[in-house]
Amino acid sequence: MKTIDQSPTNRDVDRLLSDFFKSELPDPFPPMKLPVRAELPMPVATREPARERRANTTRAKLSIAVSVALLIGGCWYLSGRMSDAPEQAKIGKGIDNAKMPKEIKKAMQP
Amino acid sequence: MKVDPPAAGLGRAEPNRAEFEALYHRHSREVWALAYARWMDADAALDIAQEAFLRLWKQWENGEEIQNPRAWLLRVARNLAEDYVKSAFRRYGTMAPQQMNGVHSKEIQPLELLERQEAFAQLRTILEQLPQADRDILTLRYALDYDAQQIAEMLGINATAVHMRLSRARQRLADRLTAQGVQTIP
Repeated sequence: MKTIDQSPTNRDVDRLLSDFFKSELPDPFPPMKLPVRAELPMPVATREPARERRANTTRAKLSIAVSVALLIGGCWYLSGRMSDAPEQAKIGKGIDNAKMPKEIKKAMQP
Repeated sequence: MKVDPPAAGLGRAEPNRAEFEALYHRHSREVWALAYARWMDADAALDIAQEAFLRLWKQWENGEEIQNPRAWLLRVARNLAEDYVKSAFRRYGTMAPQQMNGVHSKEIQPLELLERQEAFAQLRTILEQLPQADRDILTLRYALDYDAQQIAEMLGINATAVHMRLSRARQRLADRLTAQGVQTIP
């Protein structure tokens, strides 16, 4: 460092400044305390034993098969009912018409 | 110096602590010095320095890439120091004891120590009246023993300007101390 003036006053000022700033600087400089990151529990990928995996697969396949069978069965049952319904309705209507007295029929007509 | 933070965050790796600690060890004093030069308050400067480093850590945690951590830290510390008066003094309505008169303790102390503290208190008053740029230079020169070249590089100014400012500031201090009756420095 180039010194400009070495007069006693400047040397004193130099020393005073040095002492002053050194007394201000924390010594030792405190270490930094970093926050500890709160880790979220991560799902751990664990591998199941082969036998268990096979059993699970079979169970899943069986569930799907039963579901599909129920769906098809349900559709078939409902479609059968629907196709029978108009016939029954026609028959029922005819019977009712035949049995209904004329007076009531007249009363029903607007 | 380019530092690539190992990306962190949810499900990502934590930034490199060892690298961060090395950076703290290298630059914490100069970050402190810059903050200190603003308010002449050692405790506040320490808070500011640590806050600046904490922000750097958070940037790393978020996976941000900082090209020049030293320059980044110095800039953040400067900004924090500027905001300090708004955030701390106004909020709490208090001043650090060092800013009041430079006397740290009420205990009876040896005469020499009292004289020294008196001189420090006068010096502080004079330093506070100096331009900010001069305080920056004086702090780096006397607290960290930086030479003109290092100071120039850190503050982004010419080394000749550092010499000139340093010389002027010392002369001004000597004149004011003499005017205040400080003839001998303990």
